[in-house]
Amino acid sequence: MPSRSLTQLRRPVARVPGRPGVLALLLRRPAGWISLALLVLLYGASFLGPLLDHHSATATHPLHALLGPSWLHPLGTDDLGRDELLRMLYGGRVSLSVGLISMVVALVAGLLVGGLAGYLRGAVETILMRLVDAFMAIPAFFLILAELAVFGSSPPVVILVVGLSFWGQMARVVFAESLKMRQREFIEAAQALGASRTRVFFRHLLPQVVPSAIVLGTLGVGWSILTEAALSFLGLGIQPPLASWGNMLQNAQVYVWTSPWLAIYPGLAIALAVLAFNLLGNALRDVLDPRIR
Amino acid sequence: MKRELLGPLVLLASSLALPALARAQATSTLTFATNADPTFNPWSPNAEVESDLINELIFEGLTRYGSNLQPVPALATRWSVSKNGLVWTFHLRKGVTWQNGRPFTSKDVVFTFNDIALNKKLGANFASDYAPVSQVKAVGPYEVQFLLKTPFSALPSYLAYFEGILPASSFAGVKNPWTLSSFDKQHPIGTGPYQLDKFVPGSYVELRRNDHYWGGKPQVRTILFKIIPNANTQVAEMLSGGLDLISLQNTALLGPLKSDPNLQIIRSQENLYYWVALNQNDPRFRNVLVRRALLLAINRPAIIKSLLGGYGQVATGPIAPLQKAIYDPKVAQYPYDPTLAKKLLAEAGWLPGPNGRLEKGGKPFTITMPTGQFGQLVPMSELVQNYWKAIGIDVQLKVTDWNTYIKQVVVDRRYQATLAWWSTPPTPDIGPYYASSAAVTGSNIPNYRSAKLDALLAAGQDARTPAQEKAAYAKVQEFVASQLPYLYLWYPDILVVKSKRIGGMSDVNLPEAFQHSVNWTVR
Repeated sequence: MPSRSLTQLRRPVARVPGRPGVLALLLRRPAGWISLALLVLLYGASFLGPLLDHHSATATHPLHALLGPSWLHPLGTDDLGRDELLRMLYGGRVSLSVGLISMVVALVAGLLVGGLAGYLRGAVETILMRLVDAFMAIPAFFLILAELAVFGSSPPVVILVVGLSFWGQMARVVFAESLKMRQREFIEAAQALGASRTRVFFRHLLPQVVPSAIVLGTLGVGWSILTEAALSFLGLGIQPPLASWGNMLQNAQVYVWTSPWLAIYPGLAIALAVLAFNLLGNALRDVLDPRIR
Repeated sequence: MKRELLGPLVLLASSLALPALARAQATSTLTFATNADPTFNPWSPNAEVESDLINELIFEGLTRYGSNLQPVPALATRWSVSKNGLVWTFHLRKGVTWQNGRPFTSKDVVFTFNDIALNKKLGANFASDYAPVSQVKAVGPYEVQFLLKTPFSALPSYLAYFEGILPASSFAGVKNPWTLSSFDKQHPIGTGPYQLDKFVPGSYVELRRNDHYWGGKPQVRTILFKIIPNANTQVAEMLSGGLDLISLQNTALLGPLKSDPNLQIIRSQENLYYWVALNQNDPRFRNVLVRRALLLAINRPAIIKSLLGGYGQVATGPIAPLQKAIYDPKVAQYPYDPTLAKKLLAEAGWLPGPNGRLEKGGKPFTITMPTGQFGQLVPMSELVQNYWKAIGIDVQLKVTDWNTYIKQVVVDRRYQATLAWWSTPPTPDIGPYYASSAAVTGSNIPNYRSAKLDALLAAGQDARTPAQEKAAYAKVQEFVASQLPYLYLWYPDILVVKSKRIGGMSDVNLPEAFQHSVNWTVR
C-alpha cells in the first residue's frame, strides 16, 4: 500500500521509461521484501482474520478464564475467558491503524507547515517554525497524556493526538528539504515560465520533498505503535473492552507468573510490527536516495 | 606438628563461627514490603495503605483489636459509658513514655482528638468516623472523657482502627500538622514497640525496637520495610527470600508462591466488601426493581471463581461474616438469574426494543461506568459490563488513573454506576457509608437517602447490650439486603503470604497482627 501511494505521488516527476519502480526496487532488497511480507501478514490477518470467526472478541466467559491452547481457542483465553487469538487480531486492527493513520496525520501536517515555511520564507517561516520549536520544547509524552486527559480516549482522539505529537519533527525535515529545493533550477524554471506560487508549491516542490518525509513517516509508524502501546499500558489509550496490543499487555501484567503467554503474544506482535516498519523505512531510504539509485 | 594442625582447626572454627554470628544477626530482622513512601502520621490525609502498617508499629491507639477483633486495652486500660450513652470515660495507662522519653498523659489524647481529628479545617483521616463526638475532655492526667452529641456504641472499636495517639509536645505551635515533615517524614515519635531508625525515600524504612516499651522489650530487633511499588517484584522478592511477608492484591500472583515450602498462605478476613454503587441522583436507579434486577444479572459465584481464584464469598450486605455475633446471612438473596432480571426490568418499564436493547419511552438503557486503575477493578467492571449487556443494557466503561477516579466518583459524584469496595472497622455501625447525612459529601457514595434506614442506624448506635445490638443490626441488614443501597458483590479473602521464619504472629488479619508485634519472634 505505501508503494502505491509512492508511485502516485512521484508521477509528476518525469519517469524514465524502462527504469524499475519503487516497489520493484524494494522487492530486490532483503530488508524490503521481508518487511513488506511481514506487514502484509500482520495487516491481512488483523483485518481479514476476524471475518472468519463470528465469535465476539469482547464477550466474557469467566468460567473459561486462562485456558491453555486448544482447538477451540488456539492461543488460549485471557483472564476474562475471551479468546486470545481473536483479541490479538482485533487488537492488531486498533494498534496497526493507530500506527498508520496517525502517521498520515503527521505527514499531512508536517508537509504543509514545513513545506510552506521553507518555500515562502519570511514572516511565514518565522511564525510557523517558531511554533514548531515551541511545540517540540514540550516533552511529547506528557503533552499526549494531558491531551488525552482533556479530550478522553476514544480511538479517533488517540490517533489524532499521537499523530500531532509527531508533526513537529516531520515539519522540520520537510522544511530543510524544501529550503534546499527552492533554490534548484527546476523551481526557478517553473517560476520563470509564469507558474503560480500555488502551482509551483504543489506540483513541483512538494513531490520532491515527499520521499524523505515518507521515509521519516515509516520510521514514525513504529514509534506511534509503541506510543499507543505505552498509553494503553498506562490505561490512557484504547479503553476496554476494545482490545489493543498495549492494553492486552497491561492486563497480562499480573499473570506473568501463571499465564506468561498473555504477555508474550501481544509483546511479540508489537515487536514484529515495529521491526517491519523500521526495516521498510531503511529500505525505502536506500531506494529513494538518488545517490544510491 | 600439633601447632600446624591447630592452625587450620582454628581457621575452620572461626570460619564456621562467622556465618553463624551473621545468621544470628540476620534472624533478628524481619523484612516487609510497602508500595510507596510512607507518611509517619496516621491522621495525615497523605497516609494511606502504604503507611498504615508501619504506623501501627510506631503509634498506638487507646484501644486495639483482640483475637476476635473486639476492642481490648492499649493506651487505655479500661473504659465505661454513662447511662444516657453520651459520655465515655477512658482510664489511661500509667508509666508509658513517648519514644523521646517524655511521659504520656491525657494532654496527648485531648490534643490528638480536639486539635487533629475533630478539627474540621484539617480534614484528617477517619474524621468522619467521629461525627458523633463533640469534644474530648481531660479529667486529671490519666483520665479522659469523650462527650458525644448522639450515642456511639462503636466508639471503642473505631478507636482501634489505625487511630494512633500523637504527642502534643511535638506539635506545640504548629499551624498545619500536615506540613510538619520533621515529624511525619523524619522523626516520628510514638509510644509503640518500634521507632523509626532510618528512612531512605524510594528505598526502605528501618524500624528499631523500643527498649522502653511498656509492654516489654520486643523480641525482633529490627523491622525493615522495603519500598516496592510493583506487585510482581514483591512476589519475586518473596520467592527469593528477600521478604518475609506480603499481602496479595490479586490471587493470580499466588501460583508460584503456593508451591514454596518456606511460605505459608493465610486466608485472612477483614470487614471488606466489593459493591456496585448506582448513583441515586439518577432517577432510573431510584426504582428498587431496577437495582434488584441489576444485581440478579451478575453471576457473582462465577466472578469469584475466576478473578478471585475462588478466594472469597458472595456478599449479602455491609457486615462481613467475620463479625460473627452480628452477621446475619438470612437476608434477601440474589442468585444469578438473568430471566428474572429482565422480568423485573420489564415491570419497571424497561422493555426490549427492536434490536434487543432495553428502552423506556424510546430512550435506550445506557450506563456510564467510570473505573479506576487499582487492583482488579478494571477486569471486574468489564465482567459486570458484559453481564448487563447480556440483559440488554449498554454499559460504557471509562478507565482512568486512581486519583482522577477518586475525584470524579468520590468528590464530584459524576458517575452513573461504579464498582469499588469498602474496608471498614469490624463494627456493625455503618452510618458513615449509609446515613442520609453522608450522601453527596460523605462516604455514602451512591447518595442513598432513606429516613427509615437512618432510624434503624440510630437504633443500632443506641443499643446498650450485645443482644440489643444484634437485634438492631439484624433489622439494618434485612433492610439493606432488600433495598440495595449498594449492590453487594463479594467478601474477598485477604491473602497474606508469610515466611515460616516468623513466629508469634496471629493469623486473624494484618491490622490486628501488627498491633501485637511485641510478641513476634524469628525462628
